[in-house]
Amino acid sequence: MSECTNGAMRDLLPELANERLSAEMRLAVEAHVAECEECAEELALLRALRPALLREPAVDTQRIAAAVRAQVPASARRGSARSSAPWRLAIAAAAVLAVSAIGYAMLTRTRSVTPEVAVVRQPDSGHVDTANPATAPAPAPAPVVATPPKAIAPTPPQQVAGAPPHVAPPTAAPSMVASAGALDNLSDLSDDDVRTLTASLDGLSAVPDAEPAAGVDPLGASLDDQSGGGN
Amino acid sequence: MTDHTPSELAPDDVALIARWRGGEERAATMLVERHAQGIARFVASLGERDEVEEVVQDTFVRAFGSLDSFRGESTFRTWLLTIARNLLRDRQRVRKRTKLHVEIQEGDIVSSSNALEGAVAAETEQRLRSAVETLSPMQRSIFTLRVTEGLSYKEIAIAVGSTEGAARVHYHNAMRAIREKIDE
Repeated sequence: MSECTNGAMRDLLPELANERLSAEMRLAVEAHVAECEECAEELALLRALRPALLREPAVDTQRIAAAVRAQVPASARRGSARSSAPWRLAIAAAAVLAVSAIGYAMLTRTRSVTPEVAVVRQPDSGHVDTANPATAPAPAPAPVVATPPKAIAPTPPQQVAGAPPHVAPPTAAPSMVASAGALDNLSDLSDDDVRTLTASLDGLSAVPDAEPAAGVDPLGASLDDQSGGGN
Repeated sequence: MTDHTPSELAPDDVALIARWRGGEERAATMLVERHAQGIARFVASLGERDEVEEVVQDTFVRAFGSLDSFRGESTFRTWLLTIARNLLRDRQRVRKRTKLHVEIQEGDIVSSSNALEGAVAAETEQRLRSAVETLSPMQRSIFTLRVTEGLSYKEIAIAVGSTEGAARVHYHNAMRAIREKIDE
């Protein structure tokens, strides 16, 4: 006997035996069975097995139904009915709204911080957010914040020098500060300027001095000038 | 594909459930009459012999007592079969602890003498049933659900806690085993 190669048709044999196929499908499966010896045998077996398997066990459905009515309290039915009450849907909707509101608030808060970063990331614009004290005391050259868009990126010290004045460490070394005035717009630097700047920064300590060198103001003015100003 | 799909059955069952919730006692009886015999065959196919009716009754009491958890994602019948399977599993655990009964598990074959106890049948029918009894409980339950209840493999998978593919394999293995047994 050849083995059936039409698994789809063979899968439908129980439905055919149980007379649960549509007229169209029944004709299709019967046509297959007519040509497939294995399926014909299997169908015959299914038709013989079904009544044998259906015969037992017999149960007293009236007794079972009576037990259900007796053992399931009426409150269980009312509880079931309440489960679909509209107020449950309202609670679920309120919960969704609350979560959405919290998420929106957190998002808004995050966005309020973002502009500070955006300002310092664009040194070319020449704009300095001096009104925002949060950026002024930046103690170290955070690469992401101070990195200019090109040329300076490979050497972190350059990034510090290239940042707007309010981002530079307040204790920056004099040599670095001396160059700061020419660095308002780094994109205008020539290659020679960059090399000079790099050479001057190579000598810097990674940890700035606690105090500026005598006679030099971190802000670029001489201490003598300041003292002369009435200090 | 089939004339008798679960989706077509579902509205009737759902309507009866609604009527039961509305206080109509007769609705419960109708649902029991519709499904009890199939549940009993399933319970028997899993190896339960002595307390089939008790398990079926517990299944319906449990189901009607917790209709809140029936979301209509499967048919009511499949849900009942799942409850019956879980109840049987609980009973098997108790029996195992008390050592009063052998646990029913895959590969545990119920003897033909027990299966056919009290049955008066023609020789051919007896042979067929004996062949079915040699199947493992998992094979037998899947085969019974497929042949007598007409469940799809998807419904069977839900009822027995397996996968659709595994149900299909079990069914075909069962069919092959029965044919071999008959041909002996």
